[in-house]
Amino acid sequence: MQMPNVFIAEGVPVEQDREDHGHKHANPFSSYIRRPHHIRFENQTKKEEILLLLRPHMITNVPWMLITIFMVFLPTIFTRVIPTDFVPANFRFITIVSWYLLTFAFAYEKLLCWLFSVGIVTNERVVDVDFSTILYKDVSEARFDKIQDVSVKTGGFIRSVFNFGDVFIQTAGEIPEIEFEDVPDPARVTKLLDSLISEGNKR
Amino acid sequence: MISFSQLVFWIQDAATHPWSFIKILYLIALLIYIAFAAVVYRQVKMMEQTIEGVLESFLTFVSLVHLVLAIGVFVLALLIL
Repeated sequence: MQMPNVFIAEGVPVEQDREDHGHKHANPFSSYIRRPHHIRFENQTKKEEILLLLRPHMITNVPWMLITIFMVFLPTIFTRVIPTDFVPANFRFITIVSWYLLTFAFAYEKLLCWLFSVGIVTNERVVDVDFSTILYKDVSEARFDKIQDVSVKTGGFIRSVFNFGDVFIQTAGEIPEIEFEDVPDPARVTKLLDSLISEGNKR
Repeated sequence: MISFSQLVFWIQDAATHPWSFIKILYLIALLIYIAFAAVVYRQVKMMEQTIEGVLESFLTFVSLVHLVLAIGVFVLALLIL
């Protein structure tokens, strides 16, 4: 399938663009990865190529990162404010070790949910994988011929400054709407989707 | 079946030796945490099957270390509390 022009950086030859954005060692923590050759998803067909992999913008991780930092310093603050001398030393030790284990688990769970909650645009369809918690998985997909409309929602200070927003994909399938939440450069994502939909309709 | 007199004895014991009672609570909490760490390990494997190629072996390794640490803290609590 011929790639739509919007997918190719302006003024950059196709092959150079492929090298710049589609090489094997793309930053695994990036929120906007073009042609990630090293990544595959469940039910991906052999002919199917991932054109774009999206995650919520990195800045959306700041709240849980701040909570984690607070949790790291909480035992120090707590012991300074409230005297804990009446607690035996062995209990104090186990409490602190358990607390840091819990802090790690909290941060790790948030990181995993962010890493694996992705929006995928392939040359055949869009796939939305959501892990709202580590135990809850939701996968929805729509082929381009089922997509009816694509819309963008941005707004607010942080979203405007960091240029991220929600992309809504209305479909005629079982799932009426697929949502890519807080993705970077939503206008560019919409442009790519529009091109792919119109190409899909031409075929 | 626990008899009423046994129950009264345990309550009296917990009142006179509160730290032994708290130790049991700690151990129960840490056992639950081990179960949670095992679920995390399993779920990470499932996540990696859903999306392959995202720091695979590293995340599995971290989850395994987390599980081992959880077991380690439980054993430590069992020994030193």
